Amino acid sequence: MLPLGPTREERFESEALPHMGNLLGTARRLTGSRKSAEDLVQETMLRGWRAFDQFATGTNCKGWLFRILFNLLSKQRQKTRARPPTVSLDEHCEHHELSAEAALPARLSPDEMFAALDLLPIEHRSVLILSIVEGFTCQEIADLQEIPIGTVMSRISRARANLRQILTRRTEITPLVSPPTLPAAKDTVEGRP
Amino acid sequence: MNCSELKNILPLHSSGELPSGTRTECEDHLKTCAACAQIVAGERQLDDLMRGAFAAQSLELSPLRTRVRAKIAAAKNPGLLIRWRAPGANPLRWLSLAAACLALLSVGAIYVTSQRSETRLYAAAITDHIDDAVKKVEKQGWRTSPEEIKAFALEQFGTDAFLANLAPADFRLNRVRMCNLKGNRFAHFVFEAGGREVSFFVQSRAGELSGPRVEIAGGQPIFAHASEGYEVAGFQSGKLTVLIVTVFTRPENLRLAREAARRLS
Repeated sequence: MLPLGPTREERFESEALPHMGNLLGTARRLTGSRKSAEDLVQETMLRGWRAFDQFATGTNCKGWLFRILFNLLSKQRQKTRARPPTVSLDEHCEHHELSAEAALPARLSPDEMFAALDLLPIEHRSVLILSIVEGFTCQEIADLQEIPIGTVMSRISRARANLRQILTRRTEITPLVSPPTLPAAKDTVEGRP
Repeated sequence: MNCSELKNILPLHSSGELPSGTRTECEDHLKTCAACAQIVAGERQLDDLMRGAFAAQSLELSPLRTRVRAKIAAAKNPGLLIRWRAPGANPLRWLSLAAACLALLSVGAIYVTSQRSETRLYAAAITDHIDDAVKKVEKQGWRTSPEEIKAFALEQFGTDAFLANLAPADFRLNRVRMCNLKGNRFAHFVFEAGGREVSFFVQSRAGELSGPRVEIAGGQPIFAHASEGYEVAGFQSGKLTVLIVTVFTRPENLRLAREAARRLS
């Protein structure tokens, strides 16, 4: 008798579900609210489940799921873009030259870091999180966000410089853009229903 | 490699994507350039702070995981949806499939036929209303006096009690005659209201009325149909089937039917 391989459910449970924490952590910082982030991750996982037959076992499941998440996020942003006039992000983001003159604080609370991150345009914030926190290479980010690798590199450099500038001169810097980038930020108080 | 070149490829350097030759050139430059080395060290510090913040944030995953699993389970078992399984070579499965298709087609045909039949009935009522109440085509058999109408009701329905409840109190009953609507015998009562005539086609309840149902009144459905600018509303009480034809709007016509259904129930 031939040994039976893992079922689709078992494969999804072992290969896809473990990445839910990473997806949620990133989504939380990109959507502006816990509820929107959870909804986005839930939809990502459901789409992943429906298309799981197309995913080749052994390849980059995390990257595949992040790609689904960014596609959904992009569609949500397209819907909201039609309503309020928004700032053109790349043009309005100050470009601070790479500099090591100002020292970063030795310790930062997560809230302080997130408050600073939220001041970055979403395009910059997302590449920074994908690169630094999630460990994706520039090429992988380019693939999952469907942008040229040069754009990824440029955004990472500018995001790093701006984040550094915000963290070192927090009191002097005015917000570059409004932090909430998606609607439905009704439950913005972390940890409360 | 100079400082400017290094700055351009720093993201690739940090992520370890540089080819070994270029990486060596970077490392060599960093050994000799304190400014660039300081930038790289600063970047590493920033990255560490960011990773630390993300690692320290508390994300309660358990409810979301439960929700996702439930959604996936629901997607796997979509309730009433029938999951297709190819019949394969088993002749019994093909026979079952053929029987199911035939049953489905029969039910569909019966439904379509009944809908068409009711539509024809409603259209016939409109035609009769136009002939009798609008064009005033001369026809035999009208009963016009209150006595004759009462006698007609007793003769056809065994009671005249429904006459007072058929139309609103301010409608005046003008005349009645028997008519044939596509093979169905109905009593055609013509009332006058506000200078316009309104038709009530009444039959002792035999079968079930059907058609495009629009609402429920007094536990009974009300059906509606419109053509040539006229509205038909049909309903059934315990003993009667009634079709009301007017030139009123649908809400007005439905209100007439709703109130009549309530009075007759």
